[in-house]
Amino acid sequence: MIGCRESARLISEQRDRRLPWRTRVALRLHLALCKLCKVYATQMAALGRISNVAGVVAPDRCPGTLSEERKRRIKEALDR
Amino acid sequence: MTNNRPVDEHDPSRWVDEHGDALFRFAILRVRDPELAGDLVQDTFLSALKAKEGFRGGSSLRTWLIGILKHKIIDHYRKHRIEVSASDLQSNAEGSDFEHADRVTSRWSEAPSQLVENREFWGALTNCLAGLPEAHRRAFSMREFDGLEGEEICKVLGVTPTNLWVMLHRARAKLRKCLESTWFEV
Repeated sequence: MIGCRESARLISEQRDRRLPWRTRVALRLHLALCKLCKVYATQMAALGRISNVAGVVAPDRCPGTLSEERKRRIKEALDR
Repeated sequence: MTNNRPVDEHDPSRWVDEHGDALFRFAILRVRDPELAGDLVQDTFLSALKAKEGFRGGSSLRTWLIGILKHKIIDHYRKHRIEVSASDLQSNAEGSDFEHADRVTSRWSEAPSQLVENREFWGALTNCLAGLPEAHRRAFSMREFDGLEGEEICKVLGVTPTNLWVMLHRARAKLRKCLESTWFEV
């Protein structure tokens, strides 16, 4: 049996590589029995989806602008 | 026939006004420091000017510029490597960031496309990212914002796959906890 800490580590790791089948079975068993780890897994999946979208839409949605001073400097550099 | 020629969006003198802010926003999510983000945007425009002839218009100009910027950011990570400390690589360190959810908070199931419309969400996300150790933040950014494969990220950061998995686990655990307390619980 694996504990909650190990389960959390594997929930993350399975997003980055295919886990060995024994490990997958152990994780699945733990998640079937532990409601809070199941919630954790759902939130990790959500964090992944949210980050994927945030990474793509950042140019339109992330707050922040180039300073006017910086824009002026870039324009000068482009003109040279 | 009219003499009204379309405005030439490929004229470099218009680039900064039309794409400067978008490039800056792309960069600031990934590097955090506004001065550095500005430098990377500036380098991007200068490289784009040199490579202008290579732009064939297969993609939009914006997409082309962002592709260049993405490389600049990864180059920056490669040239200014962060020494990964032993404590960065412990998965069960004292005071580890792993914590169970203690209850189900429904906001996690909001559609990402809705969340990203919310300015306060961006504030929470960028604050929480700022709380990560630099090496973890870079790993997370390349993996989850850019969707790079582990192998490529390992090369950029100079770490083994096992180290990378630990770093990503700790980054995700800490972000989850931070977002839960600053955004999802509001």
